[in-house]
Amino acid sequence: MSLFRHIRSLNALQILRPGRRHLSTASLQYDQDPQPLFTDAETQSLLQSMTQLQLDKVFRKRTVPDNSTEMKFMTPDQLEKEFVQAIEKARHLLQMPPIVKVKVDTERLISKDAALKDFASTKYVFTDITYGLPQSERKVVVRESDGTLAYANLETVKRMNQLYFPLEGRKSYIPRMFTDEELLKSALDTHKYEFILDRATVQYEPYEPEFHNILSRVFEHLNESKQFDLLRSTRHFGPMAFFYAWHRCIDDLLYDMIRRDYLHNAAELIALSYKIHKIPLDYRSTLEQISALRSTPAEKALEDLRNSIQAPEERQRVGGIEQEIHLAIGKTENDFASDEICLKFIEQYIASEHALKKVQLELAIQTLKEVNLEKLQLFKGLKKAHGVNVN
Amino acid sequence: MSLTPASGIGRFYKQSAKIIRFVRQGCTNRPFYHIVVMERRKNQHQPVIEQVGSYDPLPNDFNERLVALNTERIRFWLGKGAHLSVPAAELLGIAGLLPIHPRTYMTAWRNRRKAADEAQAEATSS
Amino acid sequence: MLPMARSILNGLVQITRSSRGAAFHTSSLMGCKAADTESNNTGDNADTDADATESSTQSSVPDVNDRTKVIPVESSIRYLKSAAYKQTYGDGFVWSQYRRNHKGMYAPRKTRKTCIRQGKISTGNPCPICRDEYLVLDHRNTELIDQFISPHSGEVLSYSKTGLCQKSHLRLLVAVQRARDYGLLTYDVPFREYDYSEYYGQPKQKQQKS
Repeated sequence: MSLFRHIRSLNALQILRPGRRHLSTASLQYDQDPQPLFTDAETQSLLQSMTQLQLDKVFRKRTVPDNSTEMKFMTPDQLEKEFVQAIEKARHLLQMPPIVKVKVDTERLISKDAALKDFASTKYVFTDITYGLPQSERKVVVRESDGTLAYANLETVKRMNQLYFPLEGRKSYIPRMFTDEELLKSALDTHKYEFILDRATVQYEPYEPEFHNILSRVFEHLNESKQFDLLRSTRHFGPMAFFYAWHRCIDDLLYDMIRRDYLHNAAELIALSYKIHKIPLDYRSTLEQISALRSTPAEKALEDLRNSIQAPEERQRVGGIEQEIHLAIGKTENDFASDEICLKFIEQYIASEHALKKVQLELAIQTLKEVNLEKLQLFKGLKKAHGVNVN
Repeated sequence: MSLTPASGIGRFYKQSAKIIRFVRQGCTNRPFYHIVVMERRKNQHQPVIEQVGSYDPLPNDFNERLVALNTERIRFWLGKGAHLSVPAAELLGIAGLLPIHPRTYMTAWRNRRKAADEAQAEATSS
Repeated sequence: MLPMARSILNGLVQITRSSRGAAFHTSSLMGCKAADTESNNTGDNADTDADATESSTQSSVPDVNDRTKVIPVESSIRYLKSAAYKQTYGDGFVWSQYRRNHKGMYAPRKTRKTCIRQGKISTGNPCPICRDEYLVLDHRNTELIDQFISPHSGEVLSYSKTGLCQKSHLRLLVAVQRARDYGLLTYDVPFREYDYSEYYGQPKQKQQKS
């Protein structure tokens, strides 16, 4: 009992505290509505490709009440179906939180009745709980004690929605982490980026100013700490890349991508920034060439899944020595070809006036080139040694 | 008090009068009302035909009284010819679903008169 | 009981210099006897035992069961990182070596209400938190709290498993809630599924609304 009392008093303190401490606002905010650009089909495919799909990370072990596993005997057909389903599920788990502009509260009056003044000492809040309505269309109206009837403000609507149709994980009060500057800072300094973002998506609606603020804070901090890999293959990577592209600070992310040998992602990131800022450079043809040579993340993950259950002997029987070589090097001929195209595109970007950290990027490109050249030589040598024809 | 589904477990008699009314739930000193559709002749703690809302008369931390209304079903039952108890009619009037009940105007007027009287008394005494 | 944890922890400065004796007392209490420490410290042990018997007669020596002194969380956090802690508990959890004493085959469903009454340990077998006064349950002490959270379900382990007394368990629950609220303790946030049409909508519908 005393625990509940304790928590209740904690909550009450937060609600009643008059000047609730607010976070300092982040310096970078979307200056205009980012939604049309973000929902654009091309942007979405770019962001999804940049996010990648690492099944280990998407399906990492989570602490959920039921963590049981199931063993089954399956025919190859059933297994194939299961694989496809797993990829579908993973793609669903990578659903990006929407990026929309901040919604401004407007006062919408329904009626004003002076004869109703003082009919009650408090105001009344009416919520429509009709079944099957989406949250955004649910009407919440307030009758003030002076007789005016108006639509409720956004904050009340959110509170009522949470009261009558609770969202799992959302608290009725704002977690202290999001109200206390120091706590958020310590969480950021310990690189709990995914946790903060996950929690913010659950706690806030995408159109709330706090949500935008927290996202910008996290992304800005991330840009300084350069731990981009923590968010790779999570649902927040796309919004992050979009944020950097929008605010013209892609260079650190670009450097990280080059260093990790995700050249196609780097090219996509550059293309995205060209697209957002309407820079008159042709990126579409390059992207088409790359996409022709490379499979999408989902296809690649499916391929990996299929390969993972094959026994080594079987793999040799099916794919021959060629596949063995590909696995050993980690790249195929198509990859080498697409790398060539990407490198050209990236170098073009570095040479242009849009790149800010030219020296760093050039160095990274140079080292990568050397490594790639070595790999290519090894690749060719291996193929020759095994008598596989090289074209 | 055991919980029943909002669809209700009461028997539906075709010919009898239905009413939309409050049912007092909660406990001693803590009223809480369900807004339900039930047989007019029945006592409030009998099984109901359907629950169409709830009403919390005690103001919360934000000084609000919370009312939830399943407007679709309320309109359905009103269209079927269900009666309305006075408190329920008042509440629906305040919600803007129906015209405001005369009794609400009377209460408002009485409250205003009482406040004016008190103000006057204070002015004369000081 | 031996002047166990107190003597370890009186000054963390001394730990590195003379941790042998202190570690022995706690380890003997824990029932995890490291053979070499035991053989090294037989003489030492005798000395401190003599101290313990003297403590009843001389008021200058502090009472081992006295728990009125408030230990700050910071020193508890430091303790959890120290060599003394490592030697006492090893790689296990603070509760893993604890066994409840009870009559008969089955333990009572609930653990005891509290181990500390009127500022003193009132039982011969205090719970894992109460027996070591340098284990302070607080939201900042995440390393300690983490040991009481199931890695599978993410819930706080039951007192039937950890053997905490009811009071400590309640304090633990509060600490966990606070740590989660403060963002010091991470947990898996439920996945939120977005219905894009709610946020993006169709442009025609938007015009109708406004």
